[in-house]
Amino acid sequence: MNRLSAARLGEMASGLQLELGDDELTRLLPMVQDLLDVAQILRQKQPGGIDHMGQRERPTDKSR
Amino acid sequence: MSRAEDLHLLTVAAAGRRIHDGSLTPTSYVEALIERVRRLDPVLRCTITLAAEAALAAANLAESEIRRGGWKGPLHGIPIGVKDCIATEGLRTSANSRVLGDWVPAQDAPAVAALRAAGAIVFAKLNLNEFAWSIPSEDDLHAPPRNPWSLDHYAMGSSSGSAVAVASGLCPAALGTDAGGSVRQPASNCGVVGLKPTHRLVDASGAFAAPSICEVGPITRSVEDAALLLGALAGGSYAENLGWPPKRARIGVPSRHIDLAQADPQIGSAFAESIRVLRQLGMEIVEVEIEGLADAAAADFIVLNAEAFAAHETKLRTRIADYGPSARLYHTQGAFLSAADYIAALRTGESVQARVDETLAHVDALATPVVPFLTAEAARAAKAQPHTGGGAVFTAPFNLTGHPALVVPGGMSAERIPIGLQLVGRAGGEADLLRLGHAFEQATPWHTMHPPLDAAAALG
Repeated sequence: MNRLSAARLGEMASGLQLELGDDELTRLLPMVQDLLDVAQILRQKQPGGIDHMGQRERPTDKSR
Repeated sequence: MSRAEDLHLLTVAAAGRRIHDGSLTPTSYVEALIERVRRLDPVLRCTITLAAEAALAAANLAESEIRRGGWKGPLHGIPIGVKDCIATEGLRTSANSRVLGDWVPAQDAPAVAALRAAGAIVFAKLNLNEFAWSIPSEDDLHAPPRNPWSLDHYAMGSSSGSAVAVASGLCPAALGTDAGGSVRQPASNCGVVGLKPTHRLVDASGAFAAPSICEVGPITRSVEDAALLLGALAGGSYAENLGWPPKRARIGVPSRHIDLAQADPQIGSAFAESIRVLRQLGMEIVEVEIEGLADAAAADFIVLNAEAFAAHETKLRTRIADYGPSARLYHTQGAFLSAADYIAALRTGESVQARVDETLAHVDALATPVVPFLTAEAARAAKAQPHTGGGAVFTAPFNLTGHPALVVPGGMSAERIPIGLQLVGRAGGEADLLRLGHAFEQATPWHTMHPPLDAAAALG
């Protein structure tokens, strides 16, 4: 997983015009990192780009 | 039950019958509950706004309507609590945030309007985690409600005030919102019934909520009451035929998903006992494997974060200091997600929805625990990815898939903290789901228990 630094998070927040202090960025960092890690896993499991046209996973019944 | 003090134990159905036969007036009922709120709420902290004057005026009106033969049905004259993120005409709606402050909406949310049309009285606006986030924070505008079963603990959220008020007899029923478990988890934690309806069965507009995954649902002290409220909210008569025992229903248990969550052992024991009760009722228990349920819980939180930021973006840019120190971070997280993240989360939901639908073609309902933790503090301390579905691993998948899910009281921990059972039904299958829940409820003692609030009254 790509690790996010507090400095990078601060740059991104600033770019989004969100005024967050250093303490807030420190608290926010692990929360955002968690979220991005989970999102990356889901993107890998749900390939949906043009490279995967026609290859979309079809659900299978595992209950029987 | 003649003493005014005992009116707080009435269910909606029982109070409705007494109002209809004239042995209870809406005014005396509302007066008794106002007195109870004033006595207990300083300790419980579940009420943000008590609409005493308006509720008494509405009770007077209901009384004269009923006297003139204009009885509207079982909700006529019944006081209802409303989570304070759901708009109420003429009544402050703060979402427990300085951002809204003393906002007084010009019109009701459709769910509130539907209850008023059925004759219900909006009695109080109930506490919640700021803007209905799932984690209780001491730094919200109003401190988190206490669990009436154990005042040392907060109630789980985010519809904590709604569940605490109903469990404590401050009102017989309340509305909550549920985007990842926010009706079901507090209902379970407070020993009452909570229903998250099928996606879009109940109009959730006018509630501060993530539109793709959030539902408005009832919190009550009985399954029958949940059916009565759903009837008013969605149209239809869910309370009819509730007593017909389900014929040899098949209940699917996703054991692998449950085991992976490593729930508190007491929750595991209570769930095993609940399954034994269902089997004793003649239901067939089958193990099912539904791939991706944990992914769906995580994906639900991706959608929740993205939609929460979208909703709050302008206010976060202009008034971030008005959010509580925790709430401003919770609502900011989604800013760093990409459109591809959001779409992958929605696709996860589509895949898992199809798998749940296929499973529910072979079983009548799924049964799971509600939450892996016994207390709000344990959930917060466990660091089980609290912002990405860890604590909502049993509830959040069904927000993303849209299936209805009912929580009924299903046990009690050694520390006397309630434990719930979740039943998940087919989309639009609330009638069957409520019948299953009713059968379970009537076969178990949990719904007859009430929190020991004498000590709380003395403190207050």
